[in-house]
Amino acid sequence: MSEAAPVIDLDGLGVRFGRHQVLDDLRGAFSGRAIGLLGPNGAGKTTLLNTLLGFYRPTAGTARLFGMDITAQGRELRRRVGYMPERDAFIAGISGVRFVRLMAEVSGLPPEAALERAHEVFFYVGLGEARYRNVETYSLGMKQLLKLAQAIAHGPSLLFLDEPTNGLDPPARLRMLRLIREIRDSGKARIVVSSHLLRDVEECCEEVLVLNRGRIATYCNLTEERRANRRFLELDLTAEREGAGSGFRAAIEGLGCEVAVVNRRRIKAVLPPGVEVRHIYASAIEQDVTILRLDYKRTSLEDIFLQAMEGDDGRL
Amino acid sequence: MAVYDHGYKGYDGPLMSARSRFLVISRYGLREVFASRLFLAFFAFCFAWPLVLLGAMYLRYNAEALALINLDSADLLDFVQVNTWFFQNLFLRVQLYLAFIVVLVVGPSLVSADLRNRAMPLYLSRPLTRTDYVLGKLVVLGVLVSAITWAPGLLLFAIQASLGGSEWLLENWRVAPSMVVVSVVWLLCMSLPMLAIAAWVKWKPWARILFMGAILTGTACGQFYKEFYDSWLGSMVVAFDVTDALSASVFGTQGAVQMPETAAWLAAAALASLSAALLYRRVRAFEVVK
Repeated sequence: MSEAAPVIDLDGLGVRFGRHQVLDDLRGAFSGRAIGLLGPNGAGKTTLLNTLLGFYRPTAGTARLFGMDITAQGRELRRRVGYMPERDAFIAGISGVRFVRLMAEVSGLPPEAALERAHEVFFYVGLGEARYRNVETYSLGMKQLLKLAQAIAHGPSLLFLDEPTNGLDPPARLRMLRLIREIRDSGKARIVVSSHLLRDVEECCEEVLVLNRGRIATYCNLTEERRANRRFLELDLTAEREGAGSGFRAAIEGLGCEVAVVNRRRIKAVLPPGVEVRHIYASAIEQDVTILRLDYKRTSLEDIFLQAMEGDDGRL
Repeated sequence: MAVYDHGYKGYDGPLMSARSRFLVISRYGLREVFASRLFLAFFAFCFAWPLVLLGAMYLRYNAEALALINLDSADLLDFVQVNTWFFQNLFLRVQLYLAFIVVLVVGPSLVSADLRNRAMPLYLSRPLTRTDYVLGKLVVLGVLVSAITWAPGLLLFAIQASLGGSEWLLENWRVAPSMVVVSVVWLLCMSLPMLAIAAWVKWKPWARILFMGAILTGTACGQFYKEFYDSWLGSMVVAFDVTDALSASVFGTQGAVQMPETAAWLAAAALASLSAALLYRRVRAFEVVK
């Protein structure tokens, strides 16, 4: 497995069930620590995850995870993958720790190591006190954490999380997102999160792939987008003297900023590299201009998503 | 990692061989089966008959012990003839009936709960194939059935061989491999349909009822066909007729059922293949609705 290779490399991937084309000619390489899969219901998010996991055979093209082909090297790949399914999934009649231990052993861990890991991950996800309870007695929120525990028990390099915050109350949702961010920041595992909740994806992903009707509607690098947003400013001004406003505009243009005038009191500016907000404030002081409001451009994931969902006629 | 260190940790330790991975499923399956005290008691009861036969074999060669219970050794020698018939009918036939109950009780619990609770994606997202999964479950039934059929059978055979001497061994050597072959064929012909039905209905009681129903229906239809058309063809769908014919074929004896050997083998192979195909079709991560 090559760590330098993209986490996911889609090469014309297509999946068809009967006459229904579920995924169609997906292409692209994604290397972020946490990749979000977004899309409306039926867009193909879960099908894409299931195909990458080897549950469905591609009918066209292929895909590679860390440079390994999902069809030819499926078994080897699944040793390195953790999967948290969307719906309830467990083995009935056994305690939580036993369930996670079994899953770790099936992934290849020796029995003693599997038992140790099972206890560790139970404490990690915050279910330590409930680890000896029968899994059927767990609440919905606990079952979500249990699914995460079994997915990380064997220390995978790639983690597929399908709707991880489904059915969680706000505190449980925050806890789940915190855990996902922690795993991402540990650098031990790359994460792919499939969700229809924009907020969740925005909070824990660096790259986002938006699917619509089985095709890639858009791809967005959220880190880059956030960085770019920091360069776009919107300023509300009030001038202390006549001509101060135009003087201020000229001053910041002199710094290399691109400036657009919205009206007499509002301007928009794009900061060039090397110019910071403090330089804008310094110019304002020099030109006797008071900055009433300074705001960064906020292109949210929602804007990106809605734009991607728009049809040719501009309708959603 | 100490329990106070709650940070996320990867795993860099050793891994087990991928080839024996299915045995993890078998090990857990067996542990769950023996967690039931009722089953444990029944399983212990399954050894009662081999012990009785062992006792009879011992007494047959021990005049002192016979004298203690006021029995004449000549009477017992006539009564307990330890030969092919002894192992085929007195031992194996009885044990196979008990093994049928074991399969009926244990079989459905092995797969139906996994499918009902959507555990398949969890298994199959790991380095485990559908074949590994089925094999793992089959091994559970294989161990249980073997433990009460051919394994004690071979033990009895070995004891009798040591008591009866080389002459008896030369005369009856075929008994040992025959017990193993009949038990294994029977295991496949009973376990695969049981697992297949359990995988399709996903509910233990229904799976048991359907399995019993299938056997009884087959028997009724087969008997009716045999009586009405006076033909052995009806035996093809009677599980116990097929078992008898197979057993007679393997042990080299005259069976009670008038059925060609080839037909019996064909019926067994068809049943096992069809069941395996049905089971394999059901054991998958997700159903695809086309």
